[in-house]
Amino acid sequence: MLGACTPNIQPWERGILAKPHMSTQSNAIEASLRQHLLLSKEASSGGHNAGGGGCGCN
Amino acid sequence: MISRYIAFSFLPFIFSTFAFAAKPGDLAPTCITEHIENGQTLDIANYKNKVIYVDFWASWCPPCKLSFPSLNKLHNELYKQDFEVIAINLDEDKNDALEFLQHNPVKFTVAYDGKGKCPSGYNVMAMPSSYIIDKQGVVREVHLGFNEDSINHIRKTVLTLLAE
Repeated sequence: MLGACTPNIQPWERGILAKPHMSTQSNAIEASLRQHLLLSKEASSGGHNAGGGGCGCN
Repeated sequence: MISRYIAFSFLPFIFSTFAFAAKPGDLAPTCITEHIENGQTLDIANYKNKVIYVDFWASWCPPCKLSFPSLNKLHNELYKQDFEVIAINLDEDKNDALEFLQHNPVKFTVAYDGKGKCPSGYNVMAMPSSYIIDKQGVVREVHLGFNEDSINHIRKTVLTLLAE
């Protein structure tokens, strides 16, 4: 059952994942600004996601 | 004790991932695919006696896009000296590749392998991945990824292999 949680996606099969609408954040600049505000106001960092589709590129 | 059994149970998965990767010194794995433009069969084995640069790429991969002008320049410089660039596209939708080629036209050979048979044979680990194969059909260098400095090293290797 756990095997279904880790499908073996090959590097060349990430085309759909690399599409902009698959990103967890629609606007990377806005997300960065919000994170900066949170950092300065709440004195906190971390716990946020990274941008990009994870294409396996260098 | 149980944790040891769990650790050993994952070993087959780990080795199955790395067991068949094409590495320097290996004979180039079989790769039969098709020309992207006309669908004619393209067999890597037919390029013996030539130094070939096999490049696995996709339209959605930024370093692949970066590599195309440099590879085209290298092809134009050396194609008369038994050097061939074979770029195998791995897009799931062939139209994505054709659209990419309209915006990034190249003179070298472009093939299409949407089912991923060739990259499975080579066990491609990243996009782009490229393999420099000598005149005897032996993999001599493997490159994962591409940056602006890569082409100088690739050119040097190709020139060395052409001189052999």
